[in-house]
Amino acid sequence: MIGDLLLRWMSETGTGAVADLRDRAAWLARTADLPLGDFAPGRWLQYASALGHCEIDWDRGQWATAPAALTRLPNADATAVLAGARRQQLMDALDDALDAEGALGVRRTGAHGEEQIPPPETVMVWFDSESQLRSIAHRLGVRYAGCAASGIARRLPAVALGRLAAPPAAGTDLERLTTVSPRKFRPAKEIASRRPDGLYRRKDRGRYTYQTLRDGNWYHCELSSGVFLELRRRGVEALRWRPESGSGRGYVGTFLVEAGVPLAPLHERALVLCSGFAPTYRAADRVLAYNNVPLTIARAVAASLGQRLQPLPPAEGRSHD
Amino acid sequence: MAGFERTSHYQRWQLLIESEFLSSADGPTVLFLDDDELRRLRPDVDDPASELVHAVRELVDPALGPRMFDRISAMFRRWDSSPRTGPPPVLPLLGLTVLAATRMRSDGAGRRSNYYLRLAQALVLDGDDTEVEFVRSRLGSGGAFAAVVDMWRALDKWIEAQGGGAGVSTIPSDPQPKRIGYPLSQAIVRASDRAVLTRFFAALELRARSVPEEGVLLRYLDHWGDRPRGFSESFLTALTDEDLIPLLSALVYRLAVSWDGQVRTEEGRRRIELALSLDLEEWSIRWLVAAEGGPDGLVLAAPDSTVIELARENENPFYVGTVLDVGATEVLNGLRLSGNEYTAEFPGRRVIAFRKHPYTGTWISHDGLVPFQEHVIGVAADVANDARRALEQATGSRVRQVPQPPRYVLVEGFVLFEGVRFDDRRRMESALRDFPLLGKLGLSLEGAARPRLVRGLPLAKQVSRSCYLRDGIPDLELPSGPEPRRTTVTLDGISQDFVASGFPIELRRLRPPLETGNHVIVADGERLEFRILDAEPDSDPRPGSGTYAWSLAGVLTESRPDSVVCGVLVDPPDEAPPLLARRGKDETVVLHDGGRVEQISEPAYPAFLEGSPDGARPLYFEVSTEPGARWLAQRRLDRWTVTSADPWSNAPSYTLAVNVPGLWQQLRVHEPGTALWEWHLDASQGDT
Repeated sequence: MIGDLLLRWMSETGTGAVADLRDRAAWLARTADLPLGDFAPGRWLQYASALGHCEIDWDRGQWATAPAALTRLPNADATAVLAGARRQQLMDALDDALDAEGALGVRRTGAHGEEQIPPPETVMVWFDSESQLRSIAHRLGVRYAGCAASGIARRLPAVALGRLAAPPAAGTDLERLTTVSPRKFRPAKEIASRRPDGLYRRKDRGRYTYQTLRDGNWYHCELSSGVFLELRRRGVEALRWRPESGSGRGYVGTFLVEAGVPLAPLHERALVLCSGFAPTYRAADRVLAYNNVPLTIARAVAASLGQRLQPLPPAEGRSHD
Repeated sequence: MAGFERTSHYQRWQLLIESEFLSSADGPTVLFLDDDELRRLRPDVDDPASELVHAVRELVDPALGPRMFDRISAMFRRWDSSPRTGPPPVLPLLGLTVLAATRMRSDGAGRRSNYYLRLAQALVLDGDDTEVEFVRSRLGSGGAFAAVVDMWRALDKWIEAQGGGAGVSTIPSDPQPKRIGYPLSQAIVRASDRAVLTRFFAALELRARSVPEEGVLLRYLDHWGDRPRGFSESFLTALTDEDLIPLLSALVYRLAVSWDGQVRTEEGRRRIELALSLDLEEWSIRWLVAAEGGPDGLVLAAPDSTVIELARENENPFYVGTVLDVGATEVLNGLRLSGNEYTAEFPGRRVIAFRKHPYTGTWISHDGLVPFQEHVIGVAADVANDARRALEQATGSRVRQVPQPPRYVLVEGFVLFEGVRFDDRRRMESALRDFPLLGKLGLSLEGAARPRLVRGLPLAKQVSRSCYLRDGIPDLELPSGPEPRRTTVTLDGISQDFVASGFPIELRRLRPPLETGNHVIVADGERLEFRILDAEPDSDPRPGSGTYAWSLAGVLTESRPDSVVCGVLVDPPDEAPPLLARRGKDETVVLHDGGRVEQISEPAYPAFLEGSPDGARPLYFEVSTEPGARWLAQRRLDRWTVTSADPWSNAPSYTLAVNVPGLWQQLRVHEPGTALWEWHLDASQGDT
């Protein structure tokens, strides 16, 4: 699978340029006869980051792998996943380490959309005790990270207005966010003094930069924080949570985000590390679904985004969302 | 200067040629003199070629036949027996022999290769055909030209003796054709061609790779030069002239061997790329100067003397600064922005290939097309109809013309087609067969200048350019012109025919795939060695891994001591482990302080773990406990397994054959219960 191959190469390489990685991903897909959508390499990188394998500095166009580590999934019946760099020597040692500790390793590939690069396979470890998990990490020479999902969820900063920004220069082509889902920006044609509060963007050397306008003041923001500030201003709730229907599992569920509502990398990582799988897109409901999210983490994520989590009734049947 | 019988005109030309060609140490020396070059050297006179002839005629008398060069020869011999502190005093004569060579044409006055006729015409000013024929025969069969040969050889030795102070000689030691090969060798490559050749050498990666042998080098040049590169007509003609090819081949080889690694303009300045940047969203087009290879700050002048101040900016691969308007004339004819040391250059084009740039987000112009990438293609209006048909044939689909309303034309005189992507080799070949002119204009794939391995997943880049990760084997690119050609490629001793067409040979598709170890490709006479590895040879953590981390404020920065998240590592980590109970037991309880017994129902499996193809499921479930939980007890038939309810505990588990919930309730009621409970555990079957 080319997603695994890409991560293997990144792990052996350590760091590099995003543009170069996109090119190599497109090349790999072509030589594997896998048609790719326009944004497929970028989407794959986004999920590789959400899975904790790497960090991406989109502004500087650089990526770097994260240290290899085992992290426990929350409320996942003694399941941990291997995250971070996956060098060959680590993967070669994995089975022996699990055998020596009497633990079970399971590798699964998550679902992915059409014309997308499959995310790296999820390497799960089913352990029987905390001490066993630590021993496995020690044997592998990787860090034990505890439960990263809950750890990150506890440290999510609250979305707030950013630093004050200079007003856009006269003549700048500005667009204002009109609808969030689907996300649409329209040219802001008003004269500068009559522009309404909202999220604005302009293109700078091929990339959009975002600013929030509040009461005549402009503030720097990222797309994600800008959208959630705008949702809060408009009183729109865009995050839902549906509990699992299985007996005794009502405190764990599926976190649903409306399409077009962008989560920041750490928010997405907190959710993805609940299951170890990238989210799936449900076209019928136009939502991204993150599985196995405990209500506590779902609330922490929503609260940091200034959202009230909308609870849904349990899903019918036994399958998750 | 020993032996220099000075006359005013001759001396002036001697000094002029010396200062122009032999006083700089910037690489190879080519004594190219044609009518244009003479006009550049002597802008003060109307007919500088005649001036040169007159100067030479002061010392050369064609009427003397075989002895016509005697005076210069005598001067030359005196110089030869002197310490030779300056160049031989024969430069005007040698220059004239080169001028004659540049005037060779296929006309009625002589055969294409009749060099002596051209030299005779040059020497016999205003003479009739009889005089010209007399001089021609004395130069050739009469042996007069043998003296000039000696002078060329002496100049060659003198240049070499200067140790680079007069450049590097490109005078062949044993030219073909003999004798006239000396002036012919200097007449092929003018300064502008030499400048283009430095781009060719860069494309050959000569900074990192060896110079191919002469014949191979010329073949690569033939492919590379078959697109609009800016070579002079005479140079392109020489590339196909069998008489000149040996000379050209030797000269290009000498230029390649002595190349200093710099891409230069014909004035000798460092050349940097000038490109067009097209923004279809903001509907704008502008010039951009590439920062690669340039200094931090740059001041250039446009042809209309506009001063352009540029500065390098962080990771921006282009300079920022003065913005120049884009005009159709510059696009068609080319544009040069010149500074003291650098010149930014855009060669004029009638076909422009634009590709999206990851940094600017705009469409940037390139020299040629590449397969598998989206292009916007600008085409001069006079060939737009043919270009549309060719593009549709090459891509197999309709191409979209970018509407340019009359008041908002982006590039005057150009038609733009967007969404053009070349994925099919055969379609491309068919289009180029049907529209060969467009191929020559640049509507063809930009192949490699020489066989090379590209893309792939490289490893060990610090120590090697040829190591790749297994399954990440690179593509092989072969040199090709607009017309595809068949060639044989040998991989590890096994040969196969391929079509070199600008499309890569994707070695990754080979079945069975190549194994780890060393491999050798031989293509076009060149040997490419590469190695496939399972991993980086270095077993330490890779440099750069862990470079970035998140601050408490949720900002990604370079990793610092106060960073809180990097990948899945969180500082401090959330380590509170869950209490785990084995699935599939008959009964599960948690024993609390005070004798309370909490019944636990085994929950359903986590939904996300169900439905997997392998059917595997976890063996444990997590038990959510309240404060005061002491023990977890699970029953299978009549046996209970008791473990600590503290997940941190390393205490052993116990197997008891008593009713544990009942015992716990009973013992905790009474004061001595704890000790008795311990007694029961100690007396158990001690399953550690």
